[in-house]
Amino acid sequence: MNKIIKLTKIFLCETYQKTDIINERTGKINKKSIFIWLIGIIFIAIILISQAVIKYLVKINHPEIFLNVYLTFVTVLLSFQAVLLCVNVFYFSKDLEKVLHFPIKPLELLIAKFNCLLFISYITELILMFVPLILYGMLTQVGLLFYIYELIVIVLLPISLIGMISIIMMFLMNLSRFVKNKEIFQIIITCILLIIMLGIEFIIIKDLTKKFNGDENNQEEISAYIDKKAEELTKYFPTTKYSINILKNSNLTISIISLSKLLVITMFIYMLFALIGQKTYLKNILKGTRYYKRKNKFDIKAIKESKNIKKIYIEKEFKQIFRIPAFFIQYIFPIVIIFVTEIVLLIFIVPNLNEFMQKQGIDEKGLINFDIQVVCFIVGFLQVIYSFSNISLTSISREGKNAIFIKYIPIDLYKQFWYKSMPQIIINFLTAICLIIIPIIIAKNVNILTVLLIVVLTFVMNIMNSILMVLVDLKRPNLNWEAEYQVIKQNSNKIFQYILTIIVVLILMYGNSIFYELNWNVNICIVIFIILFLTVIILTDRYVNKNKNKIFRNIN
Amino acid sequence: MIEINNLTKSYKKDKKVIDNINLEIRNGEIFGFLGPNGAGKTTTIKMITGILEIDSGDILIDGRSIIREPTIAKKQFGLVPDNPDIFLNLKGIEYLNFLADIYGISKEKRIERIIKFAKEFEIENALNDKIQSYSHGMRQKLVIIGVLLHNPQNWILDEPMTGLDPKSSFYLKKLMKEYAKNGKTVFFSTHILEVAEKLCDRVGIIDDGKILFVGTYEDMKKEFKRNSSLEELFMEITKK
Repeated sequence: MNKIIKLTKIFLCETYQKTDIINERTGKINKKSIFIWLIGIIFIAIILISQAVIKYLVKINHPEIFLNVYLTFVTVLLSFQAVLLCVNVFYFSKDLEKVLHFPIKPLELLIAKFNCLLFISYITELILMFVPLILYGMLTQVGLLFYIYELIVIVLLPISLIGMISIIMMFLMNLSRFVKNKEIFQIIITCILLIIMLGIEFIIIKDLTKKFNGDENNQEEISAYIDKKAEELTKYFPTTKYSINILKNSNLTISIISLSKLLVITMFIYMLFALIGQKTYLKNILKGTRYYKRKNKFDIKAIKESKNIKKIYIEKEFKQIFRIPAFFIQYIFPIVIIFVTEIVLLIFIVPNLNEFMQKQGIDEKGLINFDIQVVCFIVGFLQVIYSFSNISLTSISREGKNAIFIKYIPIDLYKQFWYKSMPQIIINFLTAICLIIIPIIIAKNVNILTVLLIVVLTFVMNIMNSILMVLVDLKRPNLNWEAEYQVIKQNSNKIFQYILTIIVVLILMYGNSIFYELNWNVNICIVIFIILFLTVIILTDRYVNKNKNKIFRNIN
Repeated sequence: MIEINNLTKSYKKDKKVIDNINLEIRNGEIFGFLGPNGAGKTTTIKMITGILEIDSGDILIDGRSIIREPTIAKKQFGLVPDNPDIFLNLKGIEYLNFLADIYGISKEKRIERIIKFAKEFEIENALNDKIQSYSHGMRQKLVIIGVLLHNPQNWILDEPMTGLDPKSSFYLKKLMKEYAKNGKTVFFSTHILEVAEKLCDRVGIIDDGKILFVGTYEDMKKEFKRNSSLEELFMEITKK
């Protein structure tokens, strides 16, 4: 047991190295850590929102809706997290190589890895569930038993979720032994699992909003409907259903029966995980070990020449992003999700919207007129989408200890700065173009010049985002990582991306209110925004060109 | 030729890790840079190659300042870093193509050199595999080939023998000798004093950021009036 606890600590340290949450000198929580501040902000926001929601639900006599909807939401979130954590902790981390030579039983390793996942999920629960449920208890004036049940649910709920997802992942990853390119296979498996989770989430949202077309005027009717639907939805997550039943606490017998069911399911899944894990996980990992020697006959045709340094440099960046599973999952997959969501929107929402508009007799010009408000909304939304992209934010960090290469090759550092910015610019440009299509389709009569100017504006913002994030990464690179997933997961620089997004959105909002008052032509307003963001690009470019040696100083 | 003039570097205000060193590594010589752990060898190499900023002083590579003309100066040397774990997700051949493109090597020359060196280092059958599947020694060999591709005038190697099998180590030493014989500069740091003793035309010993000795092995023996091995003399020089 002691060995498992120690192993868990090692794996946790590997997973959370470099986050600066704990001050290494004092052993206390580091108040200067950006992560701590980020967690604090989320924590407070969740408390405030849940308090307002519970108060409202108490007022309309349907507080149990909170349990039904919120617990389902947290379960979906935990499941998403579990998929990503499973692949990172079980397959993409390199900590196993450090402990495999010790006299440790496979089961101990497996349980330690599981504990590591569980611990991270408990932290998520602590942030998302712990206080909101206490608030629920206080505002609905339930007895002491509720709080005991709350603790039991918090402890038990993630075990079965992680167990199930781990079993599925291990089973699927086991198939990789039949596949030559294991890494691509691992990416595909993770993507499939995430798409399944997204599918479930989509079904949940669709179910919740089905028939809910705004005809209902009675708040209670709406609430009762949502409550009923949310309860039905727990069929996707049986353990969540039992957890909700326990917490509802209306009948002691039901609570105890639900608790027993939850316990039995949890124990069963845990045992199944241990059994399957022992049979598949370690064997698969050892077979997939990377230190093998293949005898591929070398073909002289593979020696190619290119005179375009920019092209080969950017190509190298893309190879890195696409070939390393952890990078692909974190950089490209969110964009794939956006594309998929967009297609879903185009197929399901747009036709219904057009129908709705016709029914409501909305004018022929369409629902959207490209005035400054709509433009600011589209561009602001795109800025939020840009903030999901970590490609530039980790452009230097993802090189790890290799980053010194940047310094000794005979390519100007200023040029390399721009080459490093290019992958995000290219990928975000494609995303932006695809996203702009939707409002253009909805708004039937669009001024071509306005559309072109919007495209230019989003492109300028894209470049600005990318170069500023490369600059942030150059100033605060994280080069001492062990496994690739740590490059993004433990990157506190993300906060700068959020700050930039907030600033841009505020500029757009402020600009919108001014231009709306002035009643200026929308194209002129867009041009002003373009000039503003272009100025930022020019200033950043000059700063980088002048101070390149200073900026690249942290790579050594 | 590599000229190091009054080079100084500090990480903290009061502590100089490199303290006003001067060195000249001439064309046609193999220069061994020796010193205990933490003496400043890698820091010096990092400054020569432009990886680390210089606090004061200058470094000229074939007359080109690494501070004022970094891009041109960087074209004059090839570096074999101490850690060969580089671009692990690329295939060996992709890495070599990438380097050859950066240094503008023609297709004919790169074909000739890749085939020659890959054969000599016995990694031709691994070039189509990703570097992550290579052993440490194979990665080291690939990095060495990468440098040899552009046939630089100055060859800088940081602990190059680490991880190499005896055959490759022998071949590398042979290459270093051939390089120097052709009038080129070979500057390398090492802990293996036997290699330095047999291979180097001159050695430089650094400790606590200061150059304690520069000269031939014979000069060293004369200076310390002892007919000892390089190892023994090294211990004497670095004794505190």
